[in-house]
Amino acid sequence: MISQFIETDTQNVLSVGDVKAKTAVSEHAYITFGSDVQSVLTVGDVRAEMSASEHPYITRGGSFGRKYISGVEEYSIIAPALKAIREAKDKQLAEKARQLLLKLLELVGRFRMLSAPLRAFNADDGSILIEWIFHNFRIGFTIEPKQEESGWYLVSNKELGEIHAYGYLSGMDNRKLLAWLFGFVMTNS
Amino acid sequence: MEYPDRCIRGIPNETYLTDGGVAAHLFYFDFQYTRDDGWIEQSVNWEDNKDAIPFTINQKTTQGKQFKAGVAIVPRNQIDNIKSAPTIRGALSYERKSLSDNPYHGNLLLISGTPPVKMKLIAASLALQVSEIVKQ
Repeated sequence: MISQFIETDTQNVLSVGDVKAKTAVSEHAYITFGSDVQSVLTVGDVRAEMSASEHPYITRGGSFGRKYISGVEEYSIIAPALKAIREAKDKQLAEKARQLLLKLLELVGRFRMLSAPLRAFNADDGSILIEWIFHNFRIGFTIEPKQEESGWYLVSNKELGEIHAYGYLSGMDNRKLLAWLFGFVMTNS
Repeated sequence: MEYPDRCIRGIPNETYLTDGGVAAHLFYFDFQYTRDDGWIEQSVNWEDNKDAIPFTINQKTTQGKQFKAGVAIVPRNQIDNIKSAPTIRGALSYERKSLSDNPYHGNLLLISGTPPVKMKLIAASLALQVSEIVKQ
């Protein structure tokens, strides 16, 4: 879970759950909660301990491995969607949506791509909609109460061929699907 | 039957607005509105004349304005394009259905049995084609 912004005095050590971080003055740290602390990372003035199974998001520039995303910009792509998901009534559904957003963010970091932010909406039918909206097309993911009904779509206008593609999310390798969709975004955004 | 060039969909509140447009769930079909003929209704108004948009904007319920965030306009030729798309053909239609207190009323129609993900594909296609938003 991503914590709130934390601003500290110089040299102070913060503890949030299992994660500790030391930040410089006026730095903003994004700190995940971890369990089974296994490794220590140091980037600039930020030091954080986290679980190997968690994906931490740490500011202060420089990437240090594919598990980690550097900078504020990449995180800002999913921040609005994460905020909306926190208000979902079905917390299990919200967690599934969050996991999908984290996978998307990992791909964004890998492609070093900055783009329009992802948006999330809590629909009246109990599902969560995640949309990535561009001028000529949009990509969507629907997280349904019945997992087998969760799906994705890609729709485009006439300029991009009037695509109306869709499919299901369960029972497939989502990373390959996401990489394919990202390829479309990179080419057309 | 003749139809005008534009279709009007009311926007209940700001949660449906995003990034200069509307989110797809503005056009979600509610399966509880399935009719005996196998179609699922989604209320719209048709822009038969210049009064249609103001009429829709001012529609009220017992709790005040029905469409607090305004209305979204979808060109009918775009609905026709969506209707004829290979992955959608046969699933989407529309009709007029005027009411005693609403002469502009009609419905977008979804064929029953459409899986949720396909319904949401159609909804997203409609949202993408919104040409104008008229706010309260």
